[in-house]
Amino acid sequence: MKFNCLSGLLVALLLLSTSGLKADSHLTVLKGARVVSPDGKGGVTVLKNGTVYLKGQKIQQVGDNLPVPKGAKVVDLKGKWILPGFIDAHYLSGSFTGETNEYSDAITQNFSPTVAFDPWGKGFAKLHQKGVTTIAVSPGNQNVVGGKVELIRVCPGKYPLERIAGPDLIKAAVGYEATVSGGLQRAPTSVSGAVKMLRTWIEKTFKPAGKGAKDLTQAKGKEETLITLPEPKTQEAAARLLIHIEARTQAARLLGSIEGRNVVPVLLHGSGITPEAWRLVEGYSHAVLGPLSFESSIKALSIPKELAAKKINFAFATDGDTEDLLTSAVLAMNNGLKFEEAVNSLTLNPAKIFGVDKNLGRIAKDYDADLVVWSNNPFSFKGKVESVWCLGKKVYDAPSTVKKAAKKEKK
Amino acid sequence: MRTLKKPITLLALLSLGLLSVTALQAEVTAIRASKIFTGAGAPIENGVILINGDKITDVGQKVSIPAGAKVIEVKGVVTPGWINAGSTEGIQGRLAEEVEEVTPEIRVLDSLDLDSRNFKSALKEGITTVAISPGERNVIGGLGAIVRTKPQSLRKMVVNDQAFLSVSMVLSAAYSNRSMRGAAPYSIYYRIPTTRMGTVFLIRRAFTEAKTYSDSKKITLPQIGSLTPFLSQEGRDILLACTQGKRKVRIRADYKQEIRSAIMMAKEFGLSLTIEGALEAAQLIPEIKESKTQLLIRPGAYFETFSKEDPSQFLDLPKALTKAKIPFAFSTTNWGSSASLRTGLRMDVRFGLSENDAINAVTSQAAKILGIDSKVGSIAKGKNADLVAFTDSPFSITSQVDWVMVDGKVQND
Repeated sequence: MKFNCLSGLLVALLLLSTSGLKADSHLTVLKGARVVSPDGKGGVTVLKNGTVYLKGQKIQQVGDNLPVPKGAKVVDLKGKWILPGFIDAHYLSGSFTGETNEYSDAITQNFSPTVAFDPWGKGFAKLHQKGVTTIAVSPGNQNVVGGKVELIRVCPGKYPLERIAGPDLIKAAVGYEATVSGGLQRAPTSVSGAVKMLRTWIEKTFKPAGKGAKDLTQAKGKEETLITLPEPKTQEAAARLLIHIEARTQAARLLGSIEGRNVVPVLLHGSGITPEAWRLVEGYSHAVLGPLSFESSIKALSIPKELAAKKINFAFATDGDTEDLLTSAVLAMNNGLKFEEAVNSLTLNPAKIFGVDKNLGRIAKDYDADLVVWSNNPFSFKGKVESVWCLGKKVYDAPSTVKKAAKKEKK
Repeated sequence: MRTLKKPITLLALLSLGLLSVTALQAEVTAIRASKIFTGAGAPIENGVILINGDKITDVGQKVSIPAGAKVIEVKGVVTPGWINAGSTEGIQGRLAEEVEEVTPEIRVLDSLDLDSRNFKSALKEGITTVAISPGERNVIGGLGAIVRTKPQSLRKMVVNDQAFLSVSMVLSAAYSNRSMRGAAPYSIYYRIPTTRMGTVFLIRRAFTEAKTYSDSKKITLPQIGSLTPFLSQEGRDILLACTQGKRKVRIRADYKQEIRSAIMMAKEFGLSLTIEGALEAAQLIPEIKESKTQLLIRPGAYFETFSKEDPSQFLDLPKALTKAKIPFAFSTTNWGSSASLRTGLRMDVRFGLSENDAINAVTSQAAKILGIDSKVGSIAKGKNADLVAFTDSPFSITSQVDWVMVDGKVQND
């Protein structure tokens, strides 16, 4: 009898656990919304009456007006817009003030800014309301090699942070800030010195080691585009080096030392950067721009358009809490950036930059279910975030007052 | 409809043909000016310059203008594009890498912002080429660059990114390294040298090391006397090229002791020497001439309080150098911006430098000193069409830049 009792219990437990699993992988269907997603070829697919199946942490299926299977949990989103969660490509806030740079040495490659990151911070909590679901937490601009950049899924109040697996990301900087922060008691004290230091570090760190750096200021090639780097074969696994530059000569010299090595350069915005500088990296390199604001010059606001025309893969960044990612894209759209380019620059482009474009940045089969539901077109300034879904679960729901206001506005 | 279409296509073809013909002709530009300073020889009155594409094809009084050429009339003066042979403009941040005192492998181009507004304002003043050198805080500061001021692609802007080695023998390389007398250096990051004796010693030590260890395959290095080697192999290679005359050396020296030391050192190591600064050069004219040293002097009235000499000699220097036939050009380092070069030169012209010699100094002489005279610096057949037109003599107080031409194209803004 005892045995029977035990076996009965076991069976019951088994049943319970399986039913529990079933509940976990229960199909959720988002229905009736306009689904906007990058198509992976630089364009955008728009489904007017889109249906998105979420299963577990992934998107199972996406289509126009798909039938709803029996037993599925249905969320009716008629009149709403669904976009992939935005990715902020360079985020400095969230740590203790001024602790994004380690001053004791110019090269601190193994340092990680996320150890001091505060998931209870106010700015971090507001990211969902801005439509952002992923941020690249990065060291500051005052070290030649500042440390690791880590991709974090926005999860206010949760600890440990939800890290997103991908290639190694490292932050470097050769701008003016990298040369003065040591109080002249630490090398380098000049931009030339910073460039030389970083070139030496790149030659030591990335394979093939010992290969002499090419000098692209002397290279032969097309007249207008100085740098046409061949894409490395192992690009998916290759480390990313985010380099903060302020002038195009620096870009030329650093990309020259990177050429042929197993590392993908990403040029980070600088105050003195011009379209001429970005033209150097035509056809290959990645760029991170922004933040653009209402105070930016017209020249700065038209850089995204020029990069898109040159087919440079670029993303936007806010540098922290004070700016809004979407605003950068909208301001760029006011200056000629197309709708599909703007959508890509906030979603799939940054995913490509960080080597996670098989999981993030699109609403498509087998992608991570990171979605944002907007009350209207987000690029029109009328759209407000109504809910955010991360890994298949609703993690943010806007207060009813926000929803009501959005409804009124629509009428 | 059919009958209508044919004439339209014919017309279109015809107009296309006409357009291409006019496009071909528009490539030839003729400039007719009342005075042309060619950068070599006497100025040409009422002359013509012919330009095809980006090159000058002919210049003279009796040059005939081909039919269909675009003609630009200039009532004033045309000169070659001006060259500022020394400047630190456009460098972001500190001018030298001050963590070490001898940094031959540092390139100034890396810290140069080619989109700096300094270059734009220089271009408006007719300065088409500028040589940039590292700051004088380092004894051996690194490699200087020659850049063109017109904003364009990197390769077109950078003429030479390792044009010369910049060495500093002036007081600023040593003076600010001093701590109080008798006290230990205030920081572990102290710098040497603290006197000019030390500066000269450090330069000699560096060149000696480069010559001793010229074989880059040697891995273990023996000592020179009691001194251990202190340079990187890259740095040694650069210094070695200087001692073999393959690369120019520019030494900043103001006073006669410094100038004399620089000349002695150039003799000792076989350097191809240019002296920048050269305030008291007037007193050393025989030595400078004998050593074939080239000079880069500051324009206009420059009053130096440290000098014990009569300040009027600074104003007479350009005239004295011309008389002695010593090649010289102008450098605005420690003086001002490129854009104010012409303002400074007015003073030199007022104190006896002839107009033609002044223009030669900022065009053909500067190009020769920088080693770019095969392309720019004079108006002659085969040279780049970099020209400046002034409304009057460039040194008249009311004269303005009429237009600036770079590579055969007049710059609009």
